[in-house]
Amino acid sequence: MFRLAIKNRACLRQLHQCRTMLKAQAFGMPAMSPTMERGGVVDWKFKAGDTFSAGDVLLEVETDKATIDVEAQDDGKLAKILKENGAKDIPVGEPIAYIADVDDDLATLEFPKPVEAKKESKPVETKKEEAKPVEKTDKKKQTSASKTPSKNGSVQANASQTLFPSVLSLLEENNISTADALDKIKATGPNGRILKGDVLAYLGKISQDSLNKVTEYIKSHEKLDLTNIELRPARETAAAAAAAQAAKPAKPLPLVLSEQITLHVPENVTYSQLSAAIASYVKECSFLAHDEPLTNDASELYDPLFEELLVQEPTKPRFKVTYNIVDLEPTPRHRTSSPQPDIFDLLSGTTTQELQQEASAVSKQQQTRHEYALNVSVAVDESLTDAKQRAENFVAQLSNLELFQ
Amino acid sequence: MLRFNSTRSFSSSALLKTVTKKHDLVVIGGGPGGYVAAIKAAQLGYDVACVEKRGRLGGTCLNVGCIPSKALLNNSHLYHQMKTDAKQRGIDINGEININVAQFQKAKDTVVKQLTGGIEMLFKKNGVTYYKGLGAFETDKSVKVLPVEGLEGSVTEDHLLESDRIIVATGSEVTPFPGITIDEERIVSSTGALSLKEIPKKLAIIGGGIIGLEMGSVYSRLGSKVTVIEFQPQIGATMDGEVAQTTQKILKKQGLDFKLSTKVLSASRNGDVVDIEVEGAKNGKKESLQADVLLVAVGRRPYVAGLNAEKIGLEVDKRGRLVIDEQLSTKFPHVKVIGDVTFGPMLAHKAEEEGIAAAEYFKVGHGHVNYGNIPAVMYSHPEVAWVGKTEEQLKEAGIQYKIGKFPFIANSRAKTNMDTEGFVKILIDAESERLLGAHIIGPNAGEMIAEAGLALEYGASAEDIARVCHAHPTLSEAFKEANLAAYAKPINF
Repeated sequence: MFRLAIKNRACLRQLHQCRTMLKAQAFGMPAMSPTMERGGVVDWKFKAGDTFSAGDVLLEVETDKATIDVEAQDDGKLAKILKENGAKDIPVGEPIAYIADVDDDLATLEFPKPVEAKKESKPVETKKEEAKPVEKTDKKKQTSASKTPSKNGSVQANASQTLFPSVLSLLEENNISTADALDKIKATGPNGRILKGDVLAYLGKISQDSLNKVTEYIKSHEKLDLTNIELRPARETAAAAAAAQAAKPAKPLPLVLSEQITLHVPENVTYSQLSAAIASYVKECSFLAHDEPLTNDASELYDPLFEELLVQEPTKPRFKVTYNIVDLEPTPRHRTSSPQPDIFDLLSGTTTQELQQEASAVSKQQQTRHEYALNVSVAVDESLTDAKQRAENFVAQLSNLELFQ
Repeated sequence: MLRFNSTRSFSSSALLKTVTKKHDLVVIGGGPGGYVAAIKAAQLGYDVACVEKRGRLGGTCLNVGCIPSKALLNNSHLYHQMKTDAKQRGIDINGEININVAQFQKAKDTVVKQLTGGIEMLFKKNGVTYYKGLGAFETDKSVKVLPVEGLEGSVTEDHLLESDRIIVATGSEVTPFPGITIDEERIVSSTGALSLKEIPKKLAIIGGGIIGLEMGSVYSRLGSKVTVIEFQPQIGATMDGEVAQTTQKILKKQGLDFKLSTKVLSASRNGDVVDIEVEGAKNGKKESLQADVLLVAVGRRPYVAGLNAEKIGLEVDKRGRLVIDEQLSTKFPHVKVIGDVTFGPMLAHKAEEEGIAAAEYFKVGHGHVNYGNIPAVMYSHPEVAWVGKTEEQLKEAGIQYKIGKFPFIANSRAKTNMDTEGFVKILIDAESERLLGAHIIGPNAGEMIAEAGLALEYGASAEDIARVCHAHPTLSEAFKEANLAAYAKPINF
């Protein structure tokens, strides 16, 4: 809450000039801000008949923004309250009380008729209302005038301006009245302001051309020069955008996990056997990675049904696997046909006939092994929140092949 | 069942990656343009959000620009005055006067902290929602706020701010010098130059613009041997030629060394020194320089990294500026751009004006920025300030002009202050006598230029200024007298 001293004209008049008239003065709803149109009475701090002195808070007034104390500007007496506490929506200027001088006798006091009081307050309102349209029409005039500038680029002078000292003295020297000047002298200044140059040109002391030239020059620099903008070519733009993207921390485009796994395969395993075994293993890992719960399923809070509910699009694959098998020692080798063993069998060599061989000499077996590289790349579908986790699980699972050695 | 539900809400919230919020207006960037726009828009009745990734409001200006540099300039000036001036002013100082670098820097940091905190208070007071995070366009009507790692108070999850009105105020960054790596230790930008831990014995500066000269002034006063290397034949960027020459003369007297029309070929750090190779732009004469610290101050460039401006189709010109029209709008009328990231001079106060205008364009369809009346100030000592046109610009445009000049040596206040270097130079139209430009080099020029701005805005003539009563004895009398000199004759000179 803040305080505002209100200089109530009616109040002052009463206190200083109207004493002998013994006539109470209307105290209108004060305007607490330039934009305030209506207000409410929150609380009168004085009763009718009380005297108050300058600086006392007379009442609290409520606006759309705040509650504000209204202070008395001078000593006086509250003669009659017209708008009691709680009265709302009172237009600014409408009497809310009558105020008299400290010495006035309320019994003999003459109250003005409410109608009169209203009239008294009205001029303030109407003045305001009038003032606005005038401004508006002025602006309209100016804009229409500036849109269709007279030959020389100047406009009709703004009637509500305070004239520059240089202009005033020139007018005086040349016996031109202010009204005449505003009517006849075309203005080149901002908002229809008459400048010294305008008067000099009007008096024929300087050339209109030079005045127009400098006015044009100044006007042209009031705005940004947005001509001749050279746009950055699209390709460069894309490159810059990419650079910006790269500069931006951790915002990679599609997430692809890649892994290279070296496989030491016994000599007697054929490429097609290996390839088939790997295909089935990849498929299995992929299935497991999609199927295994990501949260701790040993927890007593684990509820598979609820977990399933949380999964986005459960049937959609989380990642796409592509891989290739590269022979690291491309030497010709003999091919045998045998039942399809799985990849671990191949790597360990247990199901093949060389069981006893493995048992006898590991070093020898090492020599008989053949190296392949398995290059895996996993494209993760990032639109699904669990995809990355599952893809990583998949890669970890697949890497077991290497650990198996 | 109940227990299940409450624990489940945890894991499900982790799945919701983005929080969506709706605001009437979103400002990207909390620098002098952005924060002013945000507050103004809030005052005009909008529900406003402001996104800033620095973690502190105020942008370059407040954090690593105008404000900290002014703290250094003022305090180094005081120190220098005490050391060199005190005696002749009748102040004997017994004992040594020393710079305490740590305290010197702390004083600066305190100011910066107070001011940035002050803006946050203003945001609260005006009801602006503040998102700490990296703002990026999602569409032309939505901005994504991404968490910034290691930033205190940063948003913790992605926010999507939907808004029908967006103001871009992402500012600018230091332009790097091709081939020179800035390590902010020995080879520094303006940011690093503001927080050197010790005073370099030799400081070399590439660029004789405002930033270079201000930082040069600071360290020269603190005892560094300063060399300014400038490619152009003149210092002071867009200063009036005569003013630039006087400035150079005065700064030279203060101990700064100038290498004009000189091209920097390379610079590299070797341990604790920086080796710089230069070449005369005209004569091709090569030379090697060595410095403890090299300041690279060749200018600034628009900053749009991570903004995704081009993703939504905003146009960018060859110098990286976002393209706007006269109402600050991009090709989308509801996306406006203000400040360093678009056209016009890269100045905090220009950005502020545009911020206000952008908010008003949205609210009432009308905004006001007079680009012909944007003052520039260099806070050396004496200060240099100017607004409007320079003599060179008027010559080029073929405008007949008259000059009014008044030296501070003839101003009583300057005399009593024993601070009489410099002059006021007024440029008026030869015939209409309308004020076209004002250029001041002298004590408190930066404050005095405001009067010129006011006069320029109203289209005043020199006579109108000279007929205004100026207090005596003040420095501003020099401004009045210069105007008097422009259309008639000065009284006191």
